[in-house]
Amino acid sequence: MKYFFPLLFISASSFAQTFSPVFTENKPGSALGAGFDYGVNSSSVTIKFLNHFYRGDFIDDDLKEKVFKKTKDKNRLGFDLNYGLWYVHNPDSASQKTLSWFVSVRNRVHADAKFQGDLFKTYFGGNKQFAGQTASLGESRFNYLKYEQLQAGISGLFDKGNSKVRLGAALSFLKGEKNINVFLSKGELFTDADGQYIDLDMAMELRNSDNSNKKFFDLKGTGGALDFFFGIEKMKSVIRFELSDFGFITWKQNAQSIHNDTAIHFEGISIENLFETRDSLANDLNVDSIKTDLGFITEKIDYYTPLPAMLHLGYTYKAKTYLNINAGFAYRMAANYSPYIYVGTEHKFKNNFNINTRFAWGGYGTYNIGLGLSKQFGKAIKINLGTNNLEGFIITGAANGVGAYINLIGYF
Amino acid sequence: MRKPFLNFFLLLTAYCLLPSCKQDAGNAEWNIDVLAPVLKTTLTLNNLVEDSLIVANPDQSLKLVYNRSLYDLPVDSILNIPDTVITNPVTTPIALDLNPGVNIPPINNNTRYNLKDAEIVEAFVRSGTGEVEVTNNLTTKVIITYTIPLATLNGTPFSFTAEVGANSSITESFDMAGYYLDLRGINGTSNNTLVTSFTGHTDPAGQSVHINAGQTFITVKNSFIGIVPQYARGYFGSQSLNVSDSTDFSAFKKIIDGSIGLENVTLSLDLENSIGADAQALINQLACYNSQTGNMVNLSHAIIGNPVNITRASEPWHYSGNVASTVKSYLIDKDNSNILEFIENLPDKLYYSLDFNVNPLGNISSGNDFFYYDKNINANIALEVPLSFYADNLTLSDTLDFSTDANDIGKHINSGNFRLVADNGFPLSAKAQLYLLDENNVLLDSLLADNVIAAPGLDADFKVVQSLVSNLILPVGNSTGEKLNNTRKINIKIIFDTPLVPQLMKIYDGYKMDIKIIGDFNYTINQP
Repeated sequence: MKYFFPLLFISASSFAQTFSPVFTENKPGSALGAGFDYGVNSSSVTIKFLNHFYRGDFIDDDLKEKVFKKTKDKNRLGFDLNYGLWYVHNPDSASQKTLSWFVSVRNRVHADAKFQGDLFKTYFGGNKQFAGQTASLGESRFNYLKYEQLQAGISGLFDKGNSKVRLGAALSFLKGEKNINVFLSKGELFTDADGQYIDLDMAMELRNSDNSNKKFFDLKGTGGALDFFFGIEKMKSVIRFELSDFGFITWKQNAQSIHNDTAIHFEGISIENLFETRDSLANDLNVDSIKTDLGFITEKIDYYTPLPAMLHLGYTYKAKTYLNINAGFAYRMAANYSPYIYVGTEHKFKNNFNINTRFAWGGYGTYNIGLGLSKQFGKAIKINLGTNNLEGFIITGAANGVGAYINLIGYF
Repeated sequence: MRKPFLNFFLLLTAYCLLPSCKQDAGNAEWNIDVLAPVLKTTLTLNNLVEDSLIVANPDQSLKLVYNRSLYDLPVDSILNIPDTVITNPVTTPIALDLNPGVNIPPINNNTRYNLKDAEIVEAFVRSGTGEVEVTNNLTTKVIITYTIPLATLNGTPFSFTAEVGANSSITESFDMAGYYLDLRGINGTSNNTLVTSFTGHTDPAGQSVHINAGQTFITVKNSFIGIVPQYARGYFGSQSLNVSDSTDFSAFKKIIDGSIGLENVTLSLDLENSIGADAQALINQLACYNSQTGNMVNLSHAIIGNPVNITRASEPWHYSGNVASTVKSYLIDKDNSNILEFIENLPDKLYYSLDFNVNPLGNISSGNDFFYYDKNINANIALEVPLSFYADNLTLSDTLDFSTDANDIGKHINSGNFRLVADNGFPLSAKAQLYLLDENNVLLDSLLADNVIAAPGLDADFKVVQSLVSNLILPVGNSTGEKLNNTRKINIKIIFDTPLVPQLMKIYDGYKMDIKIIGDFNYTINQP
């Protein structure tokens, strides 16, 4: 093969790989693609729970209890949604040109969280279960990021005798749409056994971008990102290293920080004279007064958010002409992510039909079972679809991850 | 390369046409169990009895002392100086030619006020305004001087000089506050009389003017408006006044039902005369009214219906400011009246009917009656209730506003209860009730405690040994949570009983009841 064989598709829920076509689409000529992927995964929250939450259904006690049993001291949850279009131009095989280039536009949503089990239980179950105990809420984080990406990149193929090397890089301009970043650095909630008082010791900061409605060309945040790719094929082995989404977004305009560091002992709203409270009860029982009691300070700030950059090191062994075996390691920086390792296969069948399988551990979830199909129709159309979390479609009550991807590629 | 770039622009166009993938995913709901304190308060006697002064006796038992003025006789009911306007036209019986600088004939006026029988010889003005309007009908300017020679401020008579242009008029106002008025007239033998004087001359640099016979060529109009004396001396006349009115009695305002039995009550009635004129007071009626029960009780006592003479106040010299009032005091207690029944009626209004006669014997002071504005005739009461009583369903109530945020919390409550924890240090048991009302005070629901706040144990002297904690449950059902959404007011009732009716219980300093309300709810959260 003169060019790299098509690398295994790895869902954007794990790696944002399907949208770096210049690194994977190597057919001479031009290709236009459209892709969509989503993925959600957690170390403790089940897909059934998340489905109810997302769809706006009622989450019953049984559903909550199953998740409560799976929660640990530290828990993770991640979500990605990407869709967009790309165009890649590779040099003709007959020409001597080795440089390819591509552009893409994408809409991207990412959310991740690391949270204490007690925080989850308190939020979804209330504080009564902790009567006489302290619920540990601190060291919990949540990050939500939505942005649009305009990317352009080039890659070069270098033939070094019995090995081939591909180097590529891409730059992106990012238009930030929305960011919410919460860091609960300290949180201890004690509920008296009889409910006569509550002690809360907390320190948190919430940063969020401008929430006002803006026109399409108004910028709430701007940023940039770098993608880098290196791959080498020698004999039956292919090694590749990728760094993607290495960048940041700066949020300006009316971005704000809401923060506090307070300890309160609450025994109820104090009424000086029960029989002379014509207005005070109405004044005391409102959200603003509680917010004030908790010592929240709101101020406008400019801040930046690092992107959840992905490091990926992969190895492919071409065991047979119809079978490749893959393994790899991935990690997302600044994204509350656990190291992700995987092994998998790619089976090539007749009529340009491939089946990919993968078993992985880590990331936002625990175990992950992947299945992908790839089929090329004639010379002009190819479709890739699959999932990195097949278990999420089968055992929603027990599985913690679900996701899917689909790519349509036209060659001309 | 043209084709690839064309493809890129097609790509951009297609992207912009892509429908947004954003979806409104809906708001999930789930139930949580909340256990949290809601309200806390401490009831003391000061919370229960309004506008009161709680005084501790030497044995630390408490008594309620309630002082207030029942009636103050207004000064203007004794002496009222009416607003006065005096107009003085200046005319000539014959035709004249006035040369420049010639004097206009002076006008002196003795204005006598109509003060009925009163004969006032001197006064100090507390407030009021004097106003002078001069109209010049001549074709030359005149210079006028207006004087009140017997109205002095720090010894200087009131005087005002002004120029009035040809065929024009001027108006000037003066603050009369602080002026001393000698009302005895020019000869010093009259009364109620104010002397004013007007002089003037034509402009020395002007022209000669001709006046026809009978023509009014100058008009001077002076007014005294709103004159209120700070002090007055003279004879105030013989006057009779009848006063029938009611006044709020707020000592038991929070009590809306039930009954009490008291050990003793004393009511001091003081009739005080601080004016320099004899007075006679007759109390025709003193009654109390409980608007909750509609029950009225008339006070029975020897003072009712019998006139009381109160001799005049005195001062060492005129306008000394050092007034020695005359006071007639009457002690009304359970032995000489029905005062126990009167107060046990738990009134919120007092009705009274009084007659006052000033100078019933005529002018026996030779015109030396006096008064000061802030010293008059009044009736004061001082109620003293030793807090030694028994209570039978004594109900205290108040209605609180309920906020919108609290409504929002309430509508998500599925079930549960309010738990009322009371640490009771009063020798009383109590029931607690909450009533939910809409904006028209229509009852929506009631939260009734399943038990009573128990009275603590007492020693041999019926004194509380140690406070007692009671836990009461006020159940909240599904329908109550819904009704909280429409609730705009909450009516709180606390019903007290003494455990050993009719054993009298003393209330001691330091008695209190700590109350805490705890919410224990199943609550539906809507995903924000």
